[in-house]
Amino acid sequence: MKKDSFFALRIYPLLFMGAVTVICITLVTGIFLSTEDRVRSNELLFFRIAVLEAAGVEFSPDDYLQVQEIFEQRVVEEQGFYRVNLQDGETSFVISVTGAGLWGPIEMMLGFFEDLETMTGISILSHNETPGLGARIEEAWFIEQFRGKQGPLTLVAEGTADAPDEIDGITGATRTTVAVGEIVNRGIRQVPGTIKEE
Amino acid sequence: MAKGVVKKTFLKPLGKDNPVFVQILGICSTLAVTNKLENTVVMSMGVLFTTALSGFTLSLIRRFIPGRIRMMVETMVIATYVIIVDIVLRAFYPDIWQQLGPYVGLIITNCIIMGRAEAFALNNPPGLSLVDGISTGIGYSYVLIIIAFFRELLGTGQLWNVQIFGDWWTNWSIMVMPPGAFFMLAIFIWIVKGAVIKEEQ
Repeated sequence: MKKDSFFALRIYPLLFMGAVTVICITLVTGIFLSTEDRVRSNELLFFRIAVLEAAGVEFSPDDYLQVQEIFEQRVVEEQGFYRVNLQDGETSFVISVTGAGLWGPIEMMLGFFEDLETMTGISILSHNETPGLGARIEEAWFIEQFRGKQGPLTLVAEGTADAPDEIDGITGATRTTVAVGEIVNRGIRQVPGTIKEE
Repeated sequence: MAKGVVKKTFLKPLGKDNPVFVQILGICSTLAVTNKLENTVVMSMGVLFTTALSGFTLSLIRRFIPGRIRMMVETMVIATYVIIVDIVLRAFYPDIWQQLGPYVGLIITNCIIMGRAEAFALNNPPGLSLVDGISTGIGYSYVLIIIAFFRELLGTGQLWNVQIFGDWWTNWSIMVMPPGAFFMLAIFIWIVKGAVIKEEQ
């Protein structure tokens, strides 16, 4: 093969790039397809944990089989919301809400008792907030304080919430907690329209 | 292959030819992912894996790559390895994958990897390129881990989600925010260049 022939200059680079592309894409596609089931089951697990947490059901999130069992026994999917049967014969209604956080969308689940005003809890499905600051909305103390609260909620400084409509903010993550508060309040307003008993 | 060459290739990126504090490459990821030790370690592993294997692969086919499209081929090979990292994390470590978000994909644009491919892998045999890739990855990783260690510790009082400091500690929130990365990196480069590299000269 001459170095400056038409083939070497024009055709060979095209063929070479084509071959490299085909090999790389085949490799990536193969790995993607072989892990697809696992990715789907991870997503399903995260979703189920979020619904159960928002409903205030007690379970251990690390036990994959337990999550699956409890979810299948207790949760009924309805039009636009989930009905979760609690241990003591009561029912919790869970809706999904998404809103803008500081860096990206925050996807949450909100749970309500049968009066549709008192919250059974919230859970966070996905967010892009700063680790160590905004990402602290995932911490248990922040999540758990929503249980038993009635909206519309007001944010107060960290460690000072005592009324049923007050929520502790996170120091250093004001914009993220304000965003969470707004998303939850919007969810609270949507609840009566979304959840209709037959 | 002489043993001295391997040793020299391995040691260079760790010290006087370090990609981060000497060549000042890969800064955007250094700034972005170092606010939490856990994320930093995963990110470092991803970069190490990619530099090592992309260097090896490109070196293997270096005699067949036409000169004028070599960068396209490099990008293609690097992207393939990065997407593999992304898929594996997503399947087996979904928690960490969620936290790292778009940063894993951005390994593709990490200039260290492209730089090593251009400067080293295309002119050296596969074995040596693999050594160079691994040590470049380690050279990048240890700098990031040191920075992340101080940022997470000072910013949150925690390390790897374990509380280190007690209630008396006031978190330096700025350390986990973007400006903290600039401060830490600058201090790190200052100390290393002032104390270690100066002596060698």
